Amino acid sequence: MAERNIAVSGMVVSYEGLFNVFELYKILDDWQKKHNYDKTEKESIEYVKPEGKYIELKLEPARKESDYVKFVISIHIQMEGLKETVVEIDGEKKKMHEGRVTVTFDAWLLTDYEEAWHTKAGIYFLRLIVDKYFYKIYTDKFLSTLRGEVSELSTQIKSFLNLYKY
Amino acid sequence: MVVSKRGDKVGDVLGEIRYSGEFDYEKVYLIIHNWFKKMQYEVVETYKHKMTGTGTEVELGIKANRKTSEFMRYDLEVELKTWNLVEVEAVIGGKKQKINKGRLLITISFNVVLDYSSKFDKSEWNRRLFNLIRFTLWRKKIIILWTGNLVAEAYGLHTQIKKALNMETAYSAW
Repeated sequence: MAERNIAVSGMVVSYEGLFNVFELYKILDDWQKKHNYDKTEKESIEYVKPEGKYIELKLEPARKESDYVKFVISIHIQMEGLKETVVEIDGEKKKMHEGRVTVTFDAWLLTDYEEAWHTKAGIYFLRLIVDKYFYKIYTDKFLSTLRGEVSELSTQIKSFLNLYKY
Repeated sequence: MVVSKRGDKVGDVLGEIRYSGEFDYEKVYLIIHNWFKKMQYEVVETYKHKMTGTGTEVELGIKANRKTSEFMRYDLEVELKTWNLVEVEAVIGGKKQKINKGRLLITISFNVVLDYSSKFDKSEWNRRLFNLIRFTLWRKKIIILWTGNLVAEAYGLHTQIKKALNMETAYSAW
């Protein structure tokens, strides 16, 4: 079985106010494509309720860094109480939503995702030794890269949401 | 990604779309069928219809496949389930139209099937050759290129379904 090294756990961005749902999703999708992540949209939920729309998305983009290491980011988005409004920005009328959005990020390194080093107990033990003493420097470097990417994505989302505050 | 024990299928569930509210069931159905027709898939359908006190329950299963070569076939499966489906009247674009209201669950699965005509099953020598091809020589090609192409196609269908439901997240950068 592949092993996980947690890079990011429970990083949350939450916002309440005016924003554009389509543009927010576009930012996430474009970011995944730009950084060569394989798109994985596990769940896409949209409920129209009397108190406002409820949207939930579970994305799990992944990128193979090498034959041994894979980056996986889990993005869980919940939008509640969304009500459609039309706002005039720079003389142009735009469709926006007013509501609450919470974006939760988790990210991990998946090592030996092809399970090539799990065939026998001896080989698995050898892998543990190599991982712990020889490959640690590379694992740390990969973790740092992954954390940087998740941080970049969350900053982009925060900047986008803050645009509509003023 | 799940590889079958024999190694002749690589696939997984692509994702689920859940929607509750007003939507045009016929439009969703036509979008799926037209997409398969445009992409040259052969389609087999199963349909179950049940009337209940709270509305109609529909279970629609669409299995589609396309032979990309003598060795490989793309399989896509769309499962559509509705609950509490009723007909309502709505004003769309200034015109009164009959649409549906209810809950909807759509699940899309994909599979790349290798050696679908069992050409490599005829003898032990052929089976070993097939194993060499799929586990060693063409392994990355199968997983990255061929399965990747099918996943990209399937996400095209995924986005079309979201557009048919007028979902806010109907966009794909690919």
